[in-house]
Amino acid sequence: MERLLHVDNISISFGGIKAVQNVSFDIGKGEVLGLIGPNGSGKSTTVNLISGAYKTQTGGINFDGKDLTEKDGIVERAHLGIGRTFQSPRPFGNLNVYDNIFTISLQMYSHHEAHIKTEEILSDTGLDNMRDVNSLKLPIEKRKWLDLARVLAIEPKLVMLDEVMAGLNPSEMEASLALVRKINANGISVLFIEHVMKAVVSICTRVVVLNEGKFLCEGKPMEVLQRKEVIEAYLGGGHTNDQN
Amino acid sequence: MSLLFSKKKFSAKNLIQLFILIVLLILPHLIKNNYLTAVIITCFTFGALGVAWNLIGGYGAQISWCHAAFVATGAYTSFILNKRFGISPFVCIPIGILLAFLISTAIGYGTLKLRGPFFSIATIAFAEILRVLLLYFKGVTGGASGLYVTYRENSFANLTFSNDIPFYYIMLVALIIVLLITAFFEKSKTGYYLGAIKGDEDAAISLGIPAFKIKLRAFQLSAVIAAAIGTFYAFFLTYIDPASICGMDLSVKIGVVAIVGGIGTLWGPVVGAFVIIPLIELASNLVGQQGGTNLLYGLALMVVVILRSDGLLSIYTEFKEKHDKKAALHHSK
Amino acid sequence: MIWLFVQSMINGLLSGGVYALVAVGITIVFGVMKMVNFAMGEFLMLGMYATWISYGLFNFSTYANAPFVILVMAVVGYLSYLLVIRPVLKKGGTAFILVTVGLSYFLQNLIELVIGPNFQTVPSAIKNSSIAVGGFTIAIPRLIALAVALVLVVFVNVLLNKTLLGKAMRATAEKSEVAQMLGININNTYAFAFVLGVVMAGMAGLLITPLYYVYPQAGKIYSTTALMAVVLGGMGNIKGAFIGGIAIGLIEAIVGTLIAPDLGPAGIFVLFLAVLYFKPQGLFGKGERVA
Repeated sequence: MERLLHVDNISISFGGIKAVQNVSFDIGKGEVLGLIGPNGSGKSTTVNLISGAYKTQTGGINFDGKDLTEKDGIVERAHLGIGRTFQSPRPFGNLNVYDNIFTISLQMYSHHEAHIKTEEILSDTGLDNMRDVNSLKLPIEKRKWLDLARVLAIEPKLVMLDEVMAGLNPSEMEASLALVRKINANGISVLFIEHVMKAVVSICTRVVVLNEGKFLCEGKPMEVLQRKEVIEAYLGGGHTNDQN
Repeated sequence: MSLLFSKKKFSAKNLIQLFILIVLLILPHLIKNNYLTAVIITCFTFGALGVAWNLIGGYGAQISWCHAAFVATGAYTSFILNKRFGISPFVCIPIGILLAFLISTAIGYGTLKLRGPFFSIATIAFAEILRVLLLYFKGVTGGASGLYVTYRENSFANLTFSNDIPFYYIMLVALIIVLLITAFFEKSKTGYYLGAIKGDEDAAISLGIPAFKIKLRAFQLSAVIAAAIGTFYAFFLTYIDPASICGMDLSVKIGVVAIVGGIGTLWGPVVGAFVIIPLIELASNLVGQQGGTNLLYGLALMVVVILRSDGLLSIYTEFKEKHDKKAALHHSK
Repeated sequence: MIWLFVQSMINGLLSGGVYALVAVGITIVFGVMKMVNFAMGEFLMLGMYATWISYGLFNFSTYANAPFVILVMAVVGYLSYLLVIRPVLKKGGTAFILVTVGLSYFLQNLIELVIGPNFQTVPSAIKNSSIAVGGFTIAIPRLIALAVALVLVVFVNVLLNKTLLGKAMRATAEKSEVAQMLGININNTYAFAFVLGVVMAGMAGLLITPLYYVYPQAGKIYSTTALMAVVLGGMGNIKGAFIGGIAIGLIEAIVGTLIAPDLGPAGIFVLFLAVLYFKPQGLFGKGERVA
């Protein structure tokens, strides 16, 4: 599999707390990689380091053949094709569903073309019949889908989903998983941060485990979840870096 | 709210708009009262300034208290060049615009990276710097005594007239132009991006929108319009001084007009101007001193924010929505 | 030349104490409610008038009016909180800014209408007293102002860090929903913080009555400078606000004396903007987490 993202030995500390320490892993093109670990293990921080919200203090990140430097801030990385969602949905509350997506699409297309792209995304994500609803009035799982739809509008190569299953009931989870599979089927790589193991096992081809900011191990989901050190990490550890 | 005529050519809406337009065009000749005309001119002026302010304050959700600085830029540039070199104010406008562009860029770099109240406080500081500088360089600006233009003859090029009626038409045209610019801005890419930034700035950034650059553009446009209006306003007043044309009172008045009328809407500031300005005139006539008028808009500001933070225009839009819903229900029966 | 420099530094230090006092008042409100009160200068002005009224009624010497002023300011603060602040608490920071700006205009002009725009004075026996230290003059009223400012700031610091009430206030500031669940009455906490800030501004007003005229616009300059002191020091940081206030007093005095009196205020603004440009979070502020 061709490599899309290469995270090489990244670290960051906040006032003495080593949130992420010398973490390295790869994501291939079209892969769904799970990023799991107990609370405080540095998962969200890692996503922030890749998205550009934080700057790594060691090592580097290579995306799609390009080394990401300090100059590549959040905006630049989004334009390179790195997209992400947040733990709680963050819609543009003053806009309706349609405009949430349309506004982002405008960055790459003319008004006319952006309208067409928005229609495509609306039907792909099943939000078509809610296009005029104000984004704040959506129920929680639709708000998460809107976040996804918006990220699709930047035509990303990689989408980092931060606990997208949190707070959903089983049928909502199934629908969300189907949506993520659909997105991946179009060739978009996914970094899937999750606590809901059922979802991880169901959709990830490979999984990376973090503990206390450090890389613990990686492998196929079912196999990794049965390893002794992973079970121990979840049961006992992960409290030194309680930031999540 | 749509600015332009609705699709049916002879609908009631179009006829009313046409009627209003005609009335507006002949109004000064109907009134024949210079004082009232002057009040209406002031309403147009603050309507236009409020619409400009709205670009950053309403659409951008960054409450600026420095717009008097841009008004002053246009005012002083044209007064100084006109008095010293006899240059027509119309020629001075582009110069004032250029200066306002530069000043707003400088201010923007210092303030737009701040959020919320920090931004507002920083804008106060910038406007005050300009005001103090205008006071200090008396040789050029006349310092605290200010500058005035003398009337010699009716001259359109020099914006001196024997009565205010020409200013009525100038300000009306200016207001219409500003409304058109803003309407285009609303639908432009920058306008959309600004809406997203207003909704959730960090989310917008994560989706590739360069928030700082976009806000700066809105700020620059807002400043440039204010400076142009400032030129006309200054010649209408015929006298300017740092306290009145660059003071925080003026900045606040511009903001209040937009906020009371309807922050973030196209017509809100116009409504706000036509409410606040006459109220102030009424108050100063009743009370007879400066005190009463400021009390009034302090009160208006508090009342609007507490009771109806979307401004007076929202009363109309909500009424219209309810009315449209009822009509739709009727039709579907 | 050096003498002038040091003397102006002393003057600046002392006048900075008053800015610091108002700035700390603003910071308390910001620290607990996460909103900035733009009307603090007007509360200072009301404190001046309260002093003047108290003098008129009881003929007390300047500082003896303190209990009356504190009482009056507490009432004014609480009324303002109930009528103007509480209704907009849920509407966000912008609403708070607008409403306090409206309040500041309202108060200024209310006083102008009710009492009149004329300049008043509160006679003070120590108005012109000063002590000489090593060839420099230290004005007594200014020294007292600085001393009281220091005492009040220390008092507030102790309040916030060592008392149960203070801890409740800080808890409310950090996570108001959690604080509520723990039984802390949010409304009362906010009210207390707001009133405390107002009382401090009022006291600052009392402290400057020996030095300045009492008139409706007296508070305007303090609003602006105190706000800048707060941002300069790093929003929400009491120590920072205090130092910010002192710094502003220093710069104003030095620029005003050594360059030009008119440019004193400009010096403040330039300092303010220079700090903001290089350190947008203020001298003592912490950076914000982005996600």
